[in-house]
Amino acid sequence: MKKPDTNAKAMRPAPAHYHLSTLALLASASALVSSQVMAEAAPTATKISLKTLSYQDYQPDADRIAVDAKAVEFVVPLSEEWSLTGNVVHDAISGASPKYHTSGLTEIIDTRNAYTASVSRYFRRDTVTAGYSYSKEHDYLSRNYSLQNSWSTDNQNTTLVFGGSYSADEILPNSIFLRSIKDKRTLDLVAGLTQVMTQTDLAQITLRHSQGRGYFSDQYKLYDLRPDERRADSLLLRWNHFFSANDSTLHASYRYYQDSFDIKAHTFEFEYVYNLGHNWQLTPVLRYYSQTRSSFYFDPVANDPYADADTAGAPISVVYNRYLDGLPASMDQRLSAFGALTYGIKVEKTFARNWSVDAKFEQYQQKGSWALGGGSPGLADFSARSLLFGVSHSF
Amino acid sequence: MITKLRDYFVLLALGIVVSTMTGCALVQPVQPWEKGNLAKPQMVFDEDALDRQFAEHTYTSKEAASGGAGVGGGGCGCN
Repeated sequence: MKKPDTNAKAMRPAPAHYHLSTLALLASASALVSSQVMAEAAPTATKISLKTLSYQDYQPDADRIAVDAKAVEFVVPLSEEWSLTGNVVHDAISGASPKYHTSGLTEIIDTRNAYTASVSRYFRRDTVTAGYSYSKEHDYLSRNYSLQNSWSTDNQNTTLVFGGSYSADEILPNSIFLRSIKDKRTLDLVAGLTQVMTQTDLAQITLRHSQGRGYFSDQYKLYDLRPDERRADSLLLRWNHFFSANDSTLHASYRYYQDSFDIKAHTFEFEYVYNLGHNWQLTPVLRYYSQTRSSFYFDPVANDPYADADTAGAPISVVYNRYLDGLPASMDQRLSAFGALTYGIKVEKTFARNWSVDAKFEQYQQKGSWALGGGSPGLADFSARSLLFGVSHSF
Repeated sequence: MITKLRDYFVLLALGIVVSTMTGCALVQPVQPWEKGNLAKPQMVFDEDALDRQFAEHTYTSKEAASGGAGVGGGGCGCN
């Protein structure tokens, strides 16, 4: 007698010959071009998902940015060979952002609207997906075009993915440091391989190369000047293991990243999906991130001859002179060396097989001293808290 | 630049093809009727797409490294 499936999202009891192509049907919902990599079949049900995010980041002496975001996504099967995916996101952003390091907090307020649509065509062994996305803030406009093909072997144990995307972004002037509209163009190439390792293990490797030209500086930061080209490479390894004993799954991943700003980063992430029974699912999340500093990041200093009350602690004499000479320089915390830890928990409940609700809490903290191989000195610790609620319906 | 890019991608493709072939040789093929557990939603990479999208977006606003397993998606001012 087959044990009843406690996870109601499995659409029907799995027959003994349950074919892996069904996997795609269970998971085709993707806002971006799907990173789903088993042989795909067109979805057979329409799925609508809503998600809200309440986000607040802060440092010990002050709150920084708050974001209230709402997103809706739909996946619609058009025929046996075609499907359409779309999503809309609205962000309300408010709070304060530092002018340099973790000082000079300056008030900001903005809204962001983003729209994504992609269409997929399913062949016997290939799935081709073409996507477009548009995102607008009052100081930033982004348009992205993407194309991806995934190909599976006959036994569907191996899937190869090749994809590319091109972004044409415009940075709109909104500070004294930017006088005209600037462009940024980025090409991203992705190649991935997913392999069924055993009856309970899936492994995935993804290589990415990104190459951008244009305005990479931050117009809100003091004397921020970055190279007009950025190349980045990353290697992402992911492993999913299913524990038959208690119907749970471990998601483990590691990412190595390096770029032409001289930043190298390591990311380790673990999620443990635990089925509690009665269609309740609990997922603790743990993530560690560490990055080195950019070659043109400058640390805070005690007494700079050019610094005044508004720029206390900034290495103004160095940064200002480089700015005048057109040499890259930045005091952005995000280009410093630091380590960061995220922990969180997600709870999900499925009803009547086609409704599900979820809630997730995450706490994030950045510290210079948590960086592998030494962090940048003199910055305030930076933290963030997120709360997400979601509901999803298939019909 | 284009030539360099093309070389890079050819190398990438070759690497993947080679690892696929060796992967196939090293890994015992799993039969379709043995894939019941692999087909569960919890075994899918990025099963909750909106969750992943929010996570990537907020990490991009705080950290220098970025990028997941897919392509596409819009950029941001991220101040």
